[in-house]
Amino acid sequence: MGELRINHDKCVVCKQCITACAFNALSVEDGHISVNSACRLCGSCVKKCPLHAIEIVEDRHVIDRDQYHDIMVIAEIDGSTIAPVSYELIGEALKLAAIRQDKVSVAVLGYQLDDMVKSLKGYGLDHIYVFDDPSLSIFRCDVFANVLYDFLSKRKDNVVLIPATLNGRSLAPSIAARFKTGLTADCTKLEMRENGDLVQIRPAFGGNIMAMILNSHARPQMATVREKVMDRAIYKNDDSGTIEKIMVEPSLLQSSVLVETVHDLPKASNISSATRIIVIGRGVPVSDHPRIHGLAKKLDATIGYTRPMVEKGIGSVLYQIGLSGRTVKADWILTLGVSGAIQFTAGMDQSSLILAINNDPNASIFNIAHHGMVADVSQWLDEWEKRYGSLQ
Amino acid sequence: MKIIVCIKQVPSTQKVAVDPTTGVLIRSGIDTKMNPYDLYAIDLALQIKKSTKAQLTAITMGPDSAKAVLKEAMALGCDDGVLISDRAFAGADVLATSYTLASVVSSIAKDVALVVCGKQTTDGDTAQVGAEMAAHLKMPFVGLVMGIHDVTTTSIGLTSDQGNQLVDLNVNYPAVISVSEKVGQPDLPSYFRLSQMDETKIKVVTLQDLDDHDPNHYGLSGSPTQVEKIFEPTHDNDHVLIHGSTKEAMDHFVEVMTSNHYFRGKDHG
Repeated sequence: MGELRINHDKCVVCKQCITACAFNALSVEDGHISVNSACRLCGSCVKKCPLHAIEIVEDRHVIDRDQYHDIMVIAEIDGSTIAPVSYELIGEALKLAAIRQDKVSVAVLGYQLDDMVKSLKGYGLDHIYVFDDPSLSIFRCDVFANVLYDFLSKRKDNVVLIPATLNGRSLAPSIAARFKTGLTADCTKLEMRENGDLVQIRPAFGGNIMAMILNSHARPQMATVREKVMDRAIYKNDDSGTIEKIMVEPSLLQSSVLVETVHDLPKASNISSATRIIVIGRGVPVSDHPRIHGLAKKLDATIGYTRPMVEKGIGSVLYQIGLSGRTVKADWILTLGVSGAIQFTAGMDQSSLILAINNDPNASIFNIAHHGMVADVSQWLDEWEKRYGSLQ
Repeated sequence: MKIIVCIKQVPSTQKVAVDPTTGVLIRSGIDTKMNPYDLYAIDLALQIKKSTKAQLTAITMGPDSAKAVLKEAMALGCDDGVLISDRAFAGADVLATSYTLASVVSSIAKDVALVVCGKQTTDGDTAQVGAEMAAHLKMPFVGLVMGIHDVTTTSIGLTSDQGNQLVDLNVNYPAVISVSEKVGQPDLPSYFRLSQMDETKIKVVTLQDLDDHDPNHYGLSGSPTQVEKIFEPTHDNDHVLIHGSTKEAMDHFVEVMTSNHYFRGKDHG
């Protein structure tokens, strides 16, 4: 619950608190105000004290921060490769680790991983822990969580980072609850404090508000990060990253969940891996869509859509950008007739170069676009065709 | 056989602002609705109820006004509703929330076969509570269920969306699952049925009704994380806005694209 704390430096022993207390919990001992077990933490004395010398402090299990070091990244596997998001988390972990000279290691779970894990060498990792077992070939949340919890609970990692992929979003909470530690989902920014506290920043209320979250009462500090939010680790071409195979206790692999069949879905059939993107928004007349497809072809770009366009049935949900669609981190992205609701921009504002064309000078897309151009999209396309030829 | 579906009352709008002087969240309006993702969970739970004749209970944590979503769930076909309400539960983060729900499930339905959740809420947006509940209950968790098959009173076949692959699983009860919106269009409760619902069928559960009623495990005290501050998103100042003729807009576009080597003008191909 908590306890009553008296700041004896501020207190002048005026005894107003003693009169205010209904439980006779306060008295003067050795010239100081003292609290006895009758205190109900009602707060009457806190309100009464003219010098603000009394406060109610939440009684917490205090963790010894100095016992916890290092950062563990849980890698994600995509088919027969390490998914790109894993390298992004490693890149972020290395930046955070530099503050306190922590080490960064990665854990990889799967089957027949020998070739895959070699690709993690040379990025400045300390260890690459490999859990290789046929039972781990297909993701099952309980099995993966059991194996990882068993491994992590024998260590004292300060931070564990997990990709906010579909599987990661099940795995991370399953591990966090086993530790009874906090978990912050979809962090867009992380900072390390000198004392080891991880500052976790994430959008809330559909991105209308940013929340800064701390997990100062438990370890490890756990966070998930979506793909294309952090910068990828830089390949150093050195010998870093000691590969260590971990024997998995067979009892940890037992589960009441059995895999029946697996259906592979066609790869890259969505917008999230595109690096050059043109987005069609509500402000573009449908009759201009063919010309925009022509422009995309010319610039070797992929067409993306806003939510209203997908709801109208014009674009596929796999090509929808935004909080309810996919997140992109493009080299360049051009939005045409997109107003720029936060729901959309949260899914693309990490792109390196953002260009926007809209006929409304007050459109909020111009707040995030590096290059905003106030123009009518149809006339702008006419101008393009005048200069560079037909787009049909 | 017992099934529990977890639902939540959420604000109708995500339009919120931060008071610049006090740093306190200002919610515009107080309209609420059922978390839309929970409709898919209820729909799937009803399908399972149909083939197993299970008893289906909707549970929600919140103030007295959250009874409204329980009535909706009952109008859709849930047999009864449980409101989890106690001041000790206030201020809970993901860990404390999931612990509270798990504690309610294990206290009121020790023999539960299946706990069904929506994939996330529209106010918290974390998509973490279901999986944490499973861990507290020591049950397996299957996320993003988009189809069911071979439903019996001892096990169920589930198709789980794992991104690049769909995985068919067979799960022996008990288990906790979250439901993807890809499962199909859910029903909405009719106004008539809603008006027929009897609020007395809603049971209220407080801290004292739980097997573990140590207040330190719930609410603010049971939450390892704290929101240190909230703030409005900032935007970079490195922006150019061209507000002139169409020709000028095109000139600027071409200049930016060519200087970044993304376009080479007339000979681009």
